[in-house]
Amino acid sequence: MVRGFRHDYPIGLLYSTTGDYAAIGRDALDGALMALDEVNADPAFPFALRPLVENPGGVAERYRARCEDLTRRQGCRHVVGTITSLSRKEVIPVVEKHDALLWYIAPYEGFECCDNVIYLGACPNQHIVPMFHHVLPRHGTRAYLVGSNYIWGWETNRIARELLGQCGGEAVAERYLALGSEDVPRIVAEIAEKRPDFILSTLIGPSSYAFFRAIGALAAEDPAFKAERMPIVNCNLTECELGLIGEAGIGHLSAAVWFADLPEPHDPGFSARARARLGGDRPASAHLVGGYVAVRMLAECIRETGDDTIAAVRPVATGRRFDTPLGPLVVDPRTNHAALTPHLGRIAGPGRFEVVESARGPVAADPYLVDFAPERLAAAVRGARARRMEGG
Amino acid sequence: MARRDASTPRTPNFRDWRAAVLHPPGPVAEALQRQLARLSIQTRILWPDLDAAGAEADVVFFDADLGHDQQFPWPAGGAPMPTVALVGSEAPGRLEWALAQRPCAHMTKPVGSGGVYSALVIASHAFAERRALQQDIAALSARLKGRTVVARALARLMAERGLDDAAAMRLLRGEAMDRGRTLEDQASALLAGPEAAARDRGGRRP
Repeated sequence: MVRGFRHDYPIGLLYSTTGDYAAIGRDALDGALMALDEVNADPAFPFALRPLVENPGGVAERYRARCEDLTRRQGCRHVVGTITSLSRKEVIPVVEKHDALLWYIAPYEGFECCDNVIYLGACPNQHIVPMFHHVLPRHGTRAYLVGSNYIWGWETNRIARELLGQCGGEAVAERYLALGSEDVPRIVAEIAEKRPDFILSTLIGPSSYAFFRAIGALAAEDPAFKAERMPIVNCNLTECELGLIGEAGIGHLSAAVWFADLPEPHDPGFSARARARLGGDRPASAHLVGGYVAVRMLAECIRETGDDTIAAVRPVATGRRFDTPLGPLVVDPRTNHAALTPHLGRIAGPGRFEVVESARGPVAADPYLVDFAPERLAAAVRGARARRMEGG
Repeated sequence: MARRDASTPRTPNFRDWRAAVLHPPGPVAEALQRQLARLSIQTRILWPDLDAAGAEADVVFFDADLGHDQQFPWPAGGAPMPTVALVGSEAPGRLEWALAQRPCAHMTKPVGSGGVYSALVIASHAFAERRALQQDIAALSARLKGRTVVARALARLMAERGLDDAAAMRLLRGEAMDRGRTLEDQASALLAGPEAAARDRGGRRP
């Protein structure tokens, strides 16, 4: 479509669509581009967004230079991007220096509140805490912790150990794999020996897929390791990676702020539009929705202020409600973090989660765990134990 | 009750703490206040003096650039809470003054979106450690002082009753146990005067 005199705003899209976590990057990018196309085709927006796509290929060291290029040379005041905390931490000094805004949509470990970031992904009180509230009373408190060797795994597992300890349980082991490593046999052997109640996995990419397959093979030999007995619990697994895991994923659990399985009262057409856009059997995911919501919110902020400077955009982004496929969304001006509704899904089949539990509504982000109360979980676990005893 | 073993981590939490920021009002103080609010800490920005309420805060952030001793109601270095130095100038004179306040942590200016949480974690840890060390030192000093008293009491028992050192020690220890006192307290009582010593001796005789 020809847009004669519409002003256009350059928007940086910084996602790794190749490399270890390409599946996630592709979804986030596609969601962002979907929103961008919708905005550009909608006469209600008197401007256009011009996407500038950079692919750092999953290499953390490339993010800084790519972001520098987007903000300084290409003049982007907004960058939607980064999935891992490693890459987000690389980009933050750049957006701070150039007074740009990073729109971050992935779940992460918290303990950060940068003024130049809008956090639309879940932090621990919105992922691992509700997940443990579901899992511990049902499966027990002896957990095996396994993760990719960087801050997401370290910090998520630290919170896990605190929760387990408060509930009288324990981490039977805590093991890490280098990013990209598929060296899972020793870990699986240890799991076979220690027989934990469940596994918390913060593995990402190929490590995660190899791990699922190896546990699947173990379960085929011994039903004690089947998903319904010893689930693998994730806090960042979405539909976009299920195809890479295959049958071995079925029955295992993940926490996310959106699942395709959810009813969609908030944006009834969203899933159909996403399906039409993605084509084939490719499902939408929380990462795709995240990218979509970020760009859509940004466009609405620019429309409201007529300006893309962060001095103009940030107060709007953190000052009003946005109607999104995630539901009505509010970003706390104190923390720049979104209130989100945690959902827990069980992998039900190819590309599909079934939602097994949802929070009643949006949960305010608590990035520093100020309102952290492990004793509430401990009480729930004791209650469940008592009920099991009564039930014989 | 839930069992909690020693290896269970505890996430530091400063909810409901009160912070005093002794710094001229402006971007630094405001950035601090914003960061502190995220941790559910109530903050008062004070300048040039720490008022009475500020002196009872749970943590004091102080300006190392313009600060001086008279701003504090305690002698230099004697803050009864963790303190954090806000360092702008790195001139050695200013750093010397800041060090004399014995800060438990520092932050460099300008203050942006981060740094307060780690400063609080480090400062509260350093302060607790310093407190524990001071208590250990006080206990050890008291025992050291007590040792002289015990030695003098033993010498007196040996001289007055013709005991050897082991027998004098047995007697002193027995008397301390009878009265539910520490060895040092019993030694002090014995040395308090010939009357006291005589009465003690009298009391023990059938």
